Amino acid sequence: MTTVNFKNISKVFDDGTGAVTDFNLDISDGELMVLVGPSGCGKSTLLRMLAGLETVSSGELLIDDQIVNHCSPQERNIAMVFQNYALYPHMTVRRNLEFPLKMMKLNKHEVQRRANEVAELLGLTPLLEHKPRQLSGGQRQRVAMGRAIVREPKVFLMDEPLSNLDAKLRLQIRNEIATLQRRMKTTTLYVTHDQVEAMTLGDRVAIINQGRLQQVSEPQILYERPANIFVAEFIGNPGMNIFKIALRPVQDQRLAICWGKQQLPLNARQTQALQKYIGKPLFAGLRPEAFRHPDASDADAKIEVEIESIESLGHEYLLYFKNHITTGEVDSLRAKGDNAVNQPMVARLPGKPDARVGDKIKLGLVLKQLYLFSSSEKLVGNIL
Amino acid sequence: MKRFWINSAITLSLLALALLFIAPILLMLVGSLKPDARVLVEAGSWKALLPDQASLQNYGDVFSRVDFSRYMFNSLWITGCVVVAGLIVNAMAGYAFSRMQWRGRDMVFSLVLMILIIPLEAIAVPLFYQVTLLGWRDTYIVQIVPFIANAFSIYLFYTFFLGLPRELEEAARIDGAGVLRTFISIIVPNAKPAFASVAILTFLTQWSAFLWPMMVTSGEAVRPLPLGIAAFFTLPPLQWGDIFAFGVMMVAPVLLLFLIFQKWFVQGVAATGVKG
Repeated sequence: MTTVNFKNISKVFDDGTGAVTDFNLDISDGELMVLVGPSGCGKSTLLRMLAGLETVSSGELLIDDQIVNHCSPQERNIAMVFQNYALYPHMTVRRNLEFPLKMMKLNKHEVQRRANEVAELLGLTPLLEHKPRQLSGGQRQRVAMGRAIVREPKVFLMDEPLSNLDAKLRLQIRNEIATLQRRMKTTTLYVTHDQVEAMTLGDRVAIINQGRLQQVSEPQILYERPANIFVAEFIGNPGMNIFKIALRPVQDQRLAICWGKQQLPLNARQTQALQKYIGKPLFAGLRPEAFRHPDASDADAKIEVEIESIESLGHEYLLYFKNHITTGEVDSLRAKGDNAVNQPMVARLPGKPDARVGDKIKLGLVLKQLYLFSSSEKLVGNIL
Repeated sequence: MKRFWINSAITLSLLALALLFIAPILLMLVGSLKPDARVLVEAGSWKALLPDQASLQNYGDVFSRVDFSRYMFNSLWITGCVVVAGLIVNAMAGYAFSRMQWRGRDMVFSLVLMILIIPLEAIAVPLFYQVTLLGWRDTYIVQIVPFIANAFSIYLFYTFFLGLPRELEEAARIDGAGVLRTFISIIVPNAKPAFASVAILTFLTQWSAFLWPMMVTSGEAVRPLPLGIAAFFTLPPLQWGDIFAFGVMMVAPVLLLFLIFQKWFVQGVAATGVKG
């Protein structure tokens, strides 16, 4: 039974840079928790604080309800897989696997038994006498995993372990990690910047931006109910299209959502729910998956768009089109700047593209997949 | 055709230049094998480079005229001690400066760097007084201790350790190794080039040390080779063949050492960016 708790954790480096602010996260026993966020968001710093490689500026870090803020790495009984594997280059695979066991002062027989066992489990037995430089990327990755699990630690820490592998191998090793973790049921904290990796691996995923936790949830919930615009744009590939909208009264005291030349009238219930946002800035979000061919049966609105580019993926294609909002207006609203707003919008459609760049076509929309975000970028709801 | 002549001319002039540099060494080697009387007579002509009537007579003479094996032992012992102790002390210092966090580290390191520019000659006299007060004159220790800690070696190790991936140490710490264990088991085996460079540079400096041993020793018992060869100039009759033979025997261990460690040495120099 191993739990990990981050309680109000903050980290400020010696030069005054704040990396993490008031971070709270509870990882339950046997859970695979993924920390994901853009580069420099503080996710690796969190991992390194848990490993004992960075000090904690304030807050409490608990492993199994014991405060470990001041424990050295070796006292925490954790194991870590590094991005570049950090295998000891002068040692054979066998010696690499044995090193942590020797540090535990186990007897020679036990050291050999456990190293052999792990080598067998990971298919490393034929490579035991090789040096790391003689191994391929995938094999090195496996040795690094082996060195981590051979100690049977309380917690596994993985710092972007797949980022040095090619796409195919990444997929394979990702599956291996998931299988291994499920089998061993060791509490795991996994750091990545790749949201696909996060969504496919994590029991739960914690999304971090600028040193703050944005949302922690199961992958499907992150996709379906993103807590704010950052999460909405980050999760999904491509992420959610975000654009500024206005609420305008139309007939019968009802409201309509307006952006650019588009206007979506609301019913009485929806008007009621959005009353308080009149005159305040609001953002709408639409996943690329919310677009349809105009004649699709579940499309309940249509918009006209001008195609900027098309990316064919074989079984589906991505259609990029102009965002019908005045970017100047949005820029002033979101002063901190977010490229996504100025980027073209994107729709994901099945089959083969039948239009060309520059064409004006109609697209269907599934309105119940329209999300609304307040000026503070929090989710108002997908109330349609 | 024109190109051929140009290339030949370049090659020939380079060969001539190479000969110019190698001539003194060749002269020493050939002279050491010649009868003493002919060394000086032929020195000005091309015959100087021809080992006519070669014999090992001069080498035998060296052993009979001075206690060569004593000088050799002294040099090996003093240099060996300085090299081995220096590797340990300077590597640890370099590691502490490059990787460990401690109060005042940067200030102490800049002091070490300042020592780099102070030549031995500048502090020889006060150092002489100091060792005299300690009663160390005419001993091995006086030729060893002052040269163990070396600013340049520390700096070499420092730059090399900075280049090692930090993750290696972090992995070792997480695997349960303490600072010393990490240093011995992980850092040292991965720093062979730095160790080879420092070993060779220290060896070369120490092997040819002259001024300091001259100041602090008076008898043959603890004096190293460079003082031995100097003794030959003052030992009548002046035998150039013997001096050359002494010289060859003095250079041989250095060449041997360099040949053994050459691969690592080149790596080390490349890795630390030091030019010899």
